[in-house]
Amino acid sequence: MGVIDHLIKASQKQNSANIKIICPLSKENSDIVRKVSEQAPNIRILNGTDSLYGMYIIDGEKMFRVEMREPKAETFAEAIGFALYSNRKNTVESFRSIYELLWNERVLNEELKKTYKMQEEFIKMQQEFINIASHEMKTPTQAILAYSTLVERHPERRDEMIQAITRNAVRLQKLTEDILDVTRIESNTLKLKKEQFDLNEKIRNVIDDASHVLDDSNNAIKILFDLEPKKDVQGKQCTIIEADKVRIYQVIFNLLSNAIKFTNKVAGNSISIAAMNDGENNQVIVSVKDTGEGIDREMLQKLFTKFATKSHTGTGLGLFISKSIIEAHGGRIWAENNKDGKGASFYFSLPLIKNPEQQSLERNHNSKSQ
Amino acid sequence: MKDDDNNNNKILLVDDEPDLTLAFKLGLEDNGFEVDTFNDPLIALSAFKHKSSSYALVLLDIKMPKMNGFELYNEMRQINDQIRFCFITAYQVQKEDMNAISLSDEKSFDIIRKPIAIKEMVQRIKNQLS
Repeated sequence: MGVIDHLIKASQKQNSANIKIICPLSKENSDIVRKVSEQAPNIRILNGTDSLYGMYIIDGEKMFRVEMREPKAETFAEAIGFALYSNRKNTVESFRSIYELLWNERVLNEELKKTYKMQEEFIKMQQEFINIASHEMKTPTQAILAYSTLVERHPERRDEMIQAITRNAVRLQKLTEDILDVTRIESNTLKLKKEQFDLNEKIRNVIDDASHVLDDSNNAIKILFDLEPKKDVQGKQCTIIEADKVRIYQVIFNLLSNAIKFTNKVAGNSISIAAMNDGENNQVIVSVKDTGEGIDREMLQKLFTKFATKSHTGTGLGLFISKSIIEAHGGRIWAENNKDGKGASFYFSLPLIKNPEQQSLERNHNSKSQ
Repeated sequence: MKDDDNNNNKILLVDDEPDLTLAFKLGLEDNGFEVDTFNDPLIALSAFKHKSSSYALVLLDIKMPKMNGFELYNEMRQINDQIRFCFITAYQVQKEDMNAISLSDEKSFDIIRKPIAIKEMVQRIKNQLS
């Protein structure tokens, strides 16, 4: 400990020394490590192999090597064994280079361990992905396989069975698309076909399509869609953006499907969608507000990561894909529980085009002059 | 409750996918079985408590909300250990999962992997009952 105190003092001085320590990061040394990290965070410590029998200290001019005769001894005289001190340039240099080699080897070792751990985590995640994807693939396949055999024997239930086959085929198709999207996102090959359009129109399309899905699956469900296009004083084009239509549709559809999935199908429950012009920040914000159970705290933190799902009929890829799409457009996506009641709200922002008409004029002008 | 006289063809089926419970039920009924189905494992368990001895076999999905198939198996075995079990799952069963169920009676259950043809599923269930 005495040596460590000196080193800590040295590190705290002005023009402090660059101090590196290699020692076993064992239980016995945990006091040393804690003391150094608390009092002298600029001293670097790396784990070394266990050596009870000695240590050496080097700086630019001197080296000191001491071996312990009896490591468990209680007095200094009993403990001290062979010792070597030198200020000869050659001796110091040779010990110094040995130390540097050892230090570099330790650094590599730490990095290797980190890489190995990351690799392991990656393999674990891939495995999880395969497990979830295969479960999600096999379940609808089972339904299709069974009903296509049963339909011949049960002509009286033909329509019902064909509906079930279609429903499960669509589920498989959706899964296939999601998996392809994740692959594109992870290999950075998600391509956007950007064009100008009114976000409100896209929202209306999604609502129409989602309403069809609702009516098919359950006639009793009545969910109110509340489209509130907020227009600015001057014009109608306050929600014009330049983005990939198909991808933005996909995000809104995903958010709306989630809202439907997690809202109890009881009269009076509603989902509202709104596109708000946030001119101050030159963006448009879309919100999808449901009256479901809300999102629990643990889930809120990992909501947009891969495989995060509360549903037993989902892969947990939808929000991960949505986030990637919105971010690829320079926007942001987030969620919160409703403060004024039950349920949760999802939001995403997209950059607005300032003066769409003027910009398109400029573009024409530019293309002509080229 | 009085047990059914002939209980060697009655199956209790629990799977959280309604499309699958209906398909399996029809497929098994076509092959002479009588089938009760549940999509909620907790409701299935309380129904089982009342008339466990009327079933010859219990067919369980593994990945279900509220209670998974292994947990349900353990609960049901405590109520009645004479009944045969089959798991029918799309889930990749891991070694750790197997530790969750009592392995003392390995032959008392079979694991059927989805997707499977109805014909083959029926055969596996018949084997389990014989």
